[in-house]
Parts: sequence; structure tokens; C-alpha cells
Amino acid sequence: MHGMSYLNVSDKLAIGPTSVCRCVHECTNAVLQHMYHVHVRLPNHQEATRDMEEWSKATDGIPGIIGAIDCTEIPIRRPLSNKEDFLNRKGLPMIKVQALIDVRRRFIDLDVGWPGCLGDAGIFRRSQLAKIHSPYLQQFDTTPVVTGDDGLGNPTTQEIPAFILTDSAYPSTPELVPTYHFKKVRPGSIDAKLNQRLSAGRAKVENAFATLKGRFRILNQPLLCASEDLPFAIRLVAAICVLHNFLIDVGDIQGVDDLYQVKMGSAGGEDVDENDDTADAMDDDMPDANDEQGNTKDILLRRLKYLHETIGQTEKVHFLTGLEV
Amino acid sequence: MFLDSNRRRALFVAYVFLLLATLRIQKQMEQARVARLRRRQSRMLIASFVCAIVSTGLTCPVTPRSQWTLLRSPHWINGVRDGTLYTPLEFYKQFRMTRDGFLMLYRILSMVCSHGYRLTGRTTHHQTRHQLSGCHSARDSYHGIALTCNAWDELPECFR
Repeated sequence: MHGMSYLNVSDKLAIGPTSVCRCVHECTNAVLQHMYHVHVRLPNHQEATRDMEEWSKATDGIPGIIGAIDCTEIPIRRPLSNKEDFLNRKGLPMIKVQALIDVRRRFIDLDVGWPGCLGDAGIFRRSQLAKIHSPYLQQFDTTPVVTGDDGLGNPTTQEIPAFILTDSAYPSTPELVPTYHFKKVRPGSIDAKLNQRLSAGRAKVENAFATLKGRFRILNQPLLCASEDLPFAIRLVAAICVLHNFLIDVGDIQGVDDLYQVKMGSAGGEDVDENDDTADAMDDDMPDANDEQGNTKDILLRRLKYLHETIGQTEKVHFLTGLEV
Repeated sequence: MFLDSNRRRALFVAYVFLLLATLRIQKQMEQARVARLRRRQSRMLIASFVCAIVSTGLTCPVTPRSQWTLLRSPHWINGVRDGTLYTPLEFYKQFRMTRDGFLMLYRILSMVCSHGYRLTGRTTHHQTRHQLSGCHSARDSYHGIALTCNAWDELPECFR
């Protein structure tokens, strides 16, 4: 409750601090045992197809987006064992949470408890999602888009598979489409225009974390239980994420959309992620691109260039149809 | 130093007299103190009796402000639940959720909490901690963290 200590909660609720501690432990375990698999799961084919349409609206027509992935840091009190592992680049003890969200800012995949010293891409490579995301995304239909012509007036098309939006700390693969780092994109260029569309979609994952930490403010201050009982701290964070999903599932979205409404143009064409430098430095072994298979991001870029050449502008133009939105 | 027997006897009698007089005075002072304490106690007894009669006879109003000073008062949570403490806008600013969402969360957690003890058992935390404590010894290649997943053995398979 707002990150208060057990003593404060016991005063507020008129029960003993021991009872508060017991309730928190039991609630955490029970929530994970009975609610996790209900509220945190990858969407099935029908749900994902519906979500893709919503993502398409948010990004002015970019097809195939299943979700957006990112990591956030949860401060903890320094654990008794292996405390150096949990220090982030600022020297503060943290655990990292990797979350894949859908268009309603629900967590559809969670990986909680990674140490703060790991970068986002390193966490993704070690996570369970890295093993299952390729076969999962391949079950969805690809979307053909015209990306140019062969010189004889015949359009050439390329297929856009289902993919996940990420920030620039992640590798660019057919299944992962990262936004450009704000230092590596020139304002006004086609890259910036694509970045603007992708950032409008990816902002939802940042909004989801902001909503989570605004609702459950225990996540904004160091988790004291982590120093002695790190597994419980991890379970607690996971249970809180489940409750976040539960609130969205029961319709508690009033105000969230007003607060975090992402508009094209206002979302910014620059992706600012302060963790990127560290992540890039720590994950040098991560392949930057998969040139043999062709990155989805390159296909998106080619399509946007084609729109720019044929229509003359790319802003406020539907990505697939080329019509004004 | 070489007094005669009469003088010595007289000195002894005087010493005994002084001793008895001192004891007498001390006893009188003690009796006076006890009497004073008894009088004070009886006055306090009467006062507390009167207060008890007054407090039981009259209903002393407890203002909302004074309830905040009481330790372990359910005033706050009752006010939050029945909606008397915050307006909807204040409620949203305070909790970042609507009152309906809060009540749904309150209900589901109450349900979980009331049944949680039976469902989860008490020893799971210690088992988990024990499992992890052995696993966290290896620092290289993040084995400790990889084995964090082993701490979730009592959780559903989708979480492992």
C-alpha cells in the first residue's frame, strides 16, 4: 500500500505487523499460484490478430506488431549474497524486469529477477521468451508491402512478418524491430520518420511501466525484503505485475489513456533510452543484424522510402495504403 | 575517660533516651507519610470513580481528526472503502486507479488472503530461500540468477 512499511500498514489497517507480513507473503504466493497463468500469457491467434489492428492504428498502419518489449529496474536493498551482481551502472542495487506488453499495456510475458548489471539485450538472450518467440511469431500471417519496382514498372513486394517492437538496445532481427537511437538518426530523414511511427507504438511499454510504478509505489523505493529474502522480492514484483494486468482486465483504464495517450508527432521521432549506452557496451556479443534473412526494420524502411518517392511525403500517410490518415 | 559509675550510667540512659526519641520521631513521620499517601490514594480513587461514572454516562464524541492519532485505527481504510475520504479525482490521484478497480482489487486480495494460508502453506518461503541460498554461491555466468527459476518450484509450470 503506497510502499509503506509493515508497521505503518498495521496501523492503517488496525492489524498486527506480523499479520501484515503473513498476509503479504500468502497473498503473493496465492496470486502467483492462481492468477498468474490467467492474466499473464501470450495472446492466442485471434487475440493477437485483433491486437495487431490496434497496433496498426497506433503507428499509422505498420502491420504485424504483436507487442513491445522493454526492461525496467526495481530498486532493492542490497542482498546479502552476490550483491555486486545486482548493482546497476549507477552503483545502485536493482533487479530488472523484462516485460512484453500488448496494445492495452498488459504484460503478456514477464521475466522478473535479473540482476541490475545485465543489459536489456543480455536479459532477452537469456530469457525464455528468446527461445519461444520465433515459433510463436511464425504462426501469424505475413503482410505483403510494395517496397519498390524492378525498373520495368512492376512493383516488388516484400513480406512483413509478425514482430515485436523494442528499443535500440535490442538486436535487429526479423522478429525484433528496434527503434533508432536518438543519436544515430538525422532529424527529418526517412529514418526519423520511421522512428516516429515506431516510437509511437513503443511508448506504450514505457507507459505500462509508469502506470505500474504509479499504482504500486512500493516499486519506487528499495524493497527491504530483498536483502534477506530475494526470492520473495522477485515473487512480490511478479505478483504486482499480475495485479496490474488484473486491473486492466476488469476495466480499470479510466484516466490511463488520457494520461498516456500517444499521438503521432507528439511521441517524438527520437528514442531516448538512457540505458542504451550501457546495454550496447555490455552486449557486444549480440549480433546487430541478421543480413541473411533480412531485417523487418529494413523492409519497413524501404517501404517508407518508396512512399516518400511515390507520394512525396510520409507524414500522416497510412503505411500500407499510402492514403492520408 | 575515667568517669565514675554514676556518670557512666547517666550517659547510657541519655543515649538510650535519644535513641528511643529518634525512633519515635521516625515512626511518627512514617505514619504521617502513610496517612498522606492513603488520603491521596482515596482522592484519586474517588476522582477515577467519578470519571468512570461520567465517561460511562456521557458519550464522548471522537472527532475525525482525533481518530488519526489513534494507533491501529481502521478509520482510514473504512473511509477509503466507503468513499467518504476521497473524491473520485482525489482517489485517482492518490491511487492511480478508479474506486471500482480498487474495490475489485480489495475483494480479490481479501479472497486470496482468506484462503491463501490453506492454499500455499507456511513452509514454502523457507524452502525457497534454502534452495536459492545454495544456488547463489556461483557468481560467474550468472548461475545464481539462472537458478533463481529453481526457486519457483512450488509455482505453476508456466512460471518456471
